[in-house]
Amino acid sequence: MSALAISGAPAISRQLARLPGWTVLAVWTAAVLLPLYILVVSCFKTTAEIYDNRLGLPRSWALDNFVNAWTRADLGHNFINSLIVTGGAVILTIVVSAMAAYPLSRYRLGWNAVMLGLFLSGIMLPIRLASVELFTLMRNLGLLDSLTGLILVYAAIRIPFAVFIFANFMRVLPSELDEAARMDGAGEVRILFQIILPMVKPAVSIVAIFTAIAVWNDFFFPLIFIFDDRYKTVPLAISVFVGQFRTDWGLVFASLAISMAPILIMYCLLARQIREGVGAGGGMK
Amino acid sequence: MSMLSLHRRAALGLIGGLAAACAGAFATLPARADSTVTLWSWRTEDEAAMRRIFDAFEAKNPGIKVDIQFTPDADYQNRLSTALRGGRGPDIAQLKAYGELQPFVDAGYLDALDDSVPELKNMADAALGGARGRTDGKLYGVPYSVPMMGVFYNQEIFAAQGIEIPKTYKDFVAACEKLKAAGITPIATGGANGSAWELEIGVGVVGPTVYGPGFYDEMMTGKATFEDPRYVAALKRFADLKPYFPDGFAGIDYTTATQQFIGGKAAMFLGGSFENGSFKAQNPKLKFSIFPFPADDAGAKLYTSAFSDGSYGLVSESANKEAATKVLGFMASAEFAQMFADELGWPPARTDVTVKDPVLAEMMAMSKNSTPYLTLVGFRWQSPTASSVLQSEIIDMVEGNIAPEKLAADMQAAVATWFKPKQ
Amino acid sequence: MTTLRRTTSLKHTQQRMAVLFILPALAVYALFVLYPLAMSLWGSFFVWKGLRMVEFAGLSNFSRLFVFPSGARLYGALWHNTAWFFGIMVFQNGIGLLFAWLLFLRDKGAAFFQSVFFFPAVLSPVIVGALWRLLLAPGGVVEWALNGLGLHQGSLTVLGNSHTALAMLIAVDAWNWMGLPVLIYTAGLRQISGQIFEAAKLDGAGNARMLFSIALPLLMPALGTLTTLSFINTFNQFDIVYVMQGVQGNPSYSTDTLVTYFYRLAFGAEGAVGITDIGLALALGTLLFLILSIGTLLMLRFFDRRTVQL
Repeated sequence: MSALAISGAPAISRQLARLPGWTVLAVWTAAVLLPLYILVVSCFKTTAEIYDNRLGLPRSWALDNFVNAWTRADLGHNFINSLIVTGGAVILTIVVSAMAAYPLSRYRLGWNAVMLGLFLSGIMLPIRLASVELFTLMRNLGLLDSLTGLILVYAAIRIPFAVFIFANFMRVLPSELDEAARMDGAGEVRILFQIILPMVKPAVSIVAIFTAIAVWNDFFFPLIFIFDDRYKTVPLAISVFVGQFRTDWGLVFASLAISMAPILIMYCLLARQIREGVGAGGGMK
Repeated sequence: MSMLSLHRRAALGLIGGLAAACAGAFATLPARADSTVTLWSWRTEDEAAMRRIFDAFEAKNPGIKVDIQFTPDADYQNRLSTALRGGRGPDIAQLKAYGELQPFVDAGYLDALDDSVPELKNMADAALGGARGRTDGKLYGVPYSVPMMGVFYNQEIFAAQGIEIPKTYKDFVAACEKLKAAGITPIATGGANGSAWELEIGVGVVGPTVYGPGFYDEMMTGKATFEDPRYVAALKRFADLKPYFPDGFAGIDYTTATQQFIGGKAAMFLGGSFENGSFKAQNPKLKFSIFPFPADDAGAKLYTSAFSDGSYGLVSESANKEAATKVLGFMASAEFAQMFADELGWPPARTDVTVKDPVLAEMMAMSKNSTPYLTLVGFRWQSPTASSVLQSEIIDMVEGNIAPEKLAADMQAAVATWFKPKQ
Repeated sequence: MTTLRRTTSLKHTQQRMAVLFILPALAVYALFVLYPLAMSLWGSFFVWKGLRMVEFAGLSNFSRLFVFPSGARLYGALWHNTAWFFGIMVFQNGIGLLFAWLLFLRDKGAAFFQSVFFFPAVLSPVIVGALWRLLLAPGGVVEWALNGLGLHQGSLTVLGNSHTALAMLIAVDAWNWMGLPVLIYTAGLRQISGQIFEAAKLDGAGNARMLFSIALPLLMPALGTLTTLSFINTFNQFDIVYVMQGVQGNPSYSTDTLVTYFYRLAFGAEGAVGITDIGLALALGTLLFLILSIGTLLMLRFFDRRTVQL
C-alpha cells in the first residue's frame, strides 16, 4: 500500500495527472509483450506469410512449423536432457547447501565467518574464466559429454547463492528449536531435515526456482562440454538450429516458442514467488 | 503442509521418476548396430545429399553405420578443436584445407592416411595439396573437391532482359545497370553474422582478372605484398560493385543471399562451385549456369581462383578405426566421386568421372585456367590469417567506411607477423 | 561439572557434525569452482605450447596480451564492456528506477506490471538473442514498423553496421533485464517508512523532487546491489553476442567483449582457424578476474559509505 496514495486534490485531476505515468508504463508493457506476441503468431505462418502479414493473426493455425521444428531439432530428446540436468542440479544444490548452511548459521564453531565467507565469495567469482582448466578437469574425470558432469558443475556454481539464502533464513530461527529437539534425543541430521528445513520453506523455494531458471537457460557450459547430439540441452540445440535454419522464419519462431513454453508455464504459476524472491535475494540470480 | 510443498514434492517425485526411467532407457538402448562411425561436417546445406550417398554405402556394407552430425560452419573449427581436445571427437572429421588443417596435425589428433587409404594415389596434386601436413608432407585427409569460383547467373532472367554473358568488365557493369533498372537485384551477396567468407570468395572471383594469374607466385616469393597496387585494385573493384549488391547489404548474410538467388530475386551470385548442388536441391526449377568474371580486355584469358576445399580425416583417438578406414576408402573411390559429382555438383577430387551436369562441365572447363585462391591457400597458415582481417573489415570497406588501401595494409601487417617468403 | 562436560562434548559433536555437513557442498564447490580458478590464475604465468604447460613465463603472457595483434582486440573489448556497463546503468537501471517509482506511486497494477516487465529475464539468452535477431533483420518487423511510421527508409542494417551493432545489443540486454531494477527498487522503496514521504508531501514536495532528494539517498543499498550486479554481468557478457553476432563479435569486432575474446583464445575460434592460445587466454582470464574483484570491492565500499543510516 503506497503511502503516497493520500492527497487532497479532487479525484479526476489526480487521475489526469497520473496519465503520463500510465502511458510510460503502457508503452514498456507493449515493448515487452509485442515481440512475444509476434513470436507466437508467426509460428503458425510460412515465411512468405510472415512478410505479408506481420502483426495479424495467422490465416490458418497450421501446426506444420511446430512439427518440423520438433522433429528436425530432436527437441524431445533435448527436453529430457534439460529436465534431468535441471532437476538434478536443483536437488543436489538444495540438499548440500542446506546441510552446509545449517551448522554455519546455528553452531558456534569459531570458524563460521571464514567458511561462510569462502562460500559467499563464490557468488561473485567469474567461473567462465576458469573454463580452460575446468574443461581439462572434466576431461580427466571423464565428465565431458555427460549430463552428470553438467549437474555437478551447475551445483558447484549455485551452492554459494544457496548457502547464502539458507544461512540467512536459518539464522533467524529461535535457537530453542534445536535445543528442544536435542533434549528429546534427536540426531543433528533429523533436526536439520525434519525441523529446520520445513521452517525455511521460502528459502527452499527461492533456491529451487532461481537455480532451475539459471540451469535450464544456461548455454555456456553445454557449449564447451557437450559434443554429442544425444546429450545436448535445449539452449544449445536451439542455438545450432537457429544458426542452421535462419532464413525459415516460421520454423525458427516455432522452435523458440517450443523451448519457451515450459518457462512460460512455470512463470505463470510462480510469478509471485519469483517477484518476492528477487526482492529478498537482492536479485542475485 | 502448504500447497507449494505439495507441488514441490510432486515435482521432485516426477523429476526423480523421469530420471530413473531415462537412466533405465539409456542403459537398455540397443548397443550401436555393429560399428557406428560418427562423421562431422560443416556443410549443413548438403545434409540430404550426403545421407543419400551414405545410405548407398551402408546398403553395400552391412555392419557399418555412418552417423553424420552437422555443425554450422561459423562454429565448426572451434567445436571440433574443443571436442578433440576433450577426447570426444568423431571418428571421421571434415577438415579444412591448407593452414587450417595444421593445428590438428600438429596436435596429433589425426592419423596419416598414405598407407591405409591406397586410393589416394589416384588423385591429382591440386586436390591433395590441401590435405598435407606442412612439416612431414604426409596426407591427413581424403580430399573431396577442388572447387573454383565464378559468377553464377540466372539464365531465365538474362534471357528475359536480353543480356548476354559479358565479355568485358564494362559489359558486366552495363548488364548490372540494366538489371537494376528493371528492378532486379543484379548481384546477391552478403557476409553478415560470421559469413563474411562469402565476401572473401567474392574478392577471389573478381581478383584474378585484376591482379593476374602470376600474382600468387609473386606473393609466395615475397616479390609482391597485399599492399601491391594490383591487389588494392582488386579490392577496389569488388567495392565498386556495391551499387549492384542487395539493399541492406551490411545486414545480409550468406544464407539470405543464397536465398535471393535461388528464389529468382537476384540475377547473379558470386560463389564457389560448391553452390551447385545446394542450389539445385533447394530449387530444382532454377535454370542457372556459371561464367568467369570478365577482365578489362575482351581477349584476355580469364582466370579463376581454385583451391582444395577440404578433406575427411581419421581421428587418432577413434574407437572404430577399422570401420572408419573402410568408410574413408569408400570416400576416396571413383564410385564416391561419381555420386559426389551427381548429387552435389562439385568438381570432385578425382578426375575419372563422367560429367552429366552441364553446369559442372562448365565449371571444370573454367578450372583449366586457374590460379590458387590467394588468401585461403597462401595465408591461412598461422594466426592472424589474412582471411580473418579481410573478413572482419570487408563489409566496412564495401560500405565506404574503410579505404581499400587500409584494408590491404591491415592484411599485410597481420601476415607480416608470421609469413616468410619462399626464396 | 556435568553441565560443563555435556557442553564440551556437545561442542565436539557439533564440530564433527559441522565438518560432515559442510563437506559435500565444500567438496563440490572446491573441486569445480575454486580449483579450476586457482589453476587458471596459476597457469597464466606459464608458457603454453598447444595444450601443455611448458615453462615459467613470468609476465610474458600479459605483455603479449597488451601489444599487437592482441592489443587491438583487448582494448576494443575492454571499451565495449565499459560502454555496455554505462549503457545498462543509464537505460536499464535508470529507466527501471523510473518505472519502480511510477509503480510505487500507484496502488493498483504494481504486481501485474512487475510480472510483465520481469518476464523476459527468465528467458534463455538464446531465445532473447534469436528473437531479436529475427526482429531486427533486414526485412523484419522492426524495419517494417519504422518504415511504416516514416522514421526510416530502406533496409534496416543496424546489426550489420559496426557503428550501431553494439548499441543494439545493449538495448536488447536492457529489454531482457529491465524487470530486475524494477523489482529491486520496489523492494527498497517499500522498506522506507511511509512517514518520510508523508512529511515531504506536507512540505509541498512534488513527485519528482521526492524521488531524487528523498527516495534515492535512501535507496543506496538497492542502488549498490544493482550497480554491482550490473558491473559483474556486463563484464561477463557472452551469450547475447554469441547468439546475435557470432563469437567473433561481428561486424568488424565491434561487438567483441572480453569473454568472447577469451572464448576464442581458449577454444580456438580466433580467426575461425582452430588455433588456441592458452597462455593469452589465461592471462586475459586473470586480468578480468582482477578487474571484477577490484571493481566489485570498490563499488561495495563506495555504496556502503553512502548508505544513509536512519
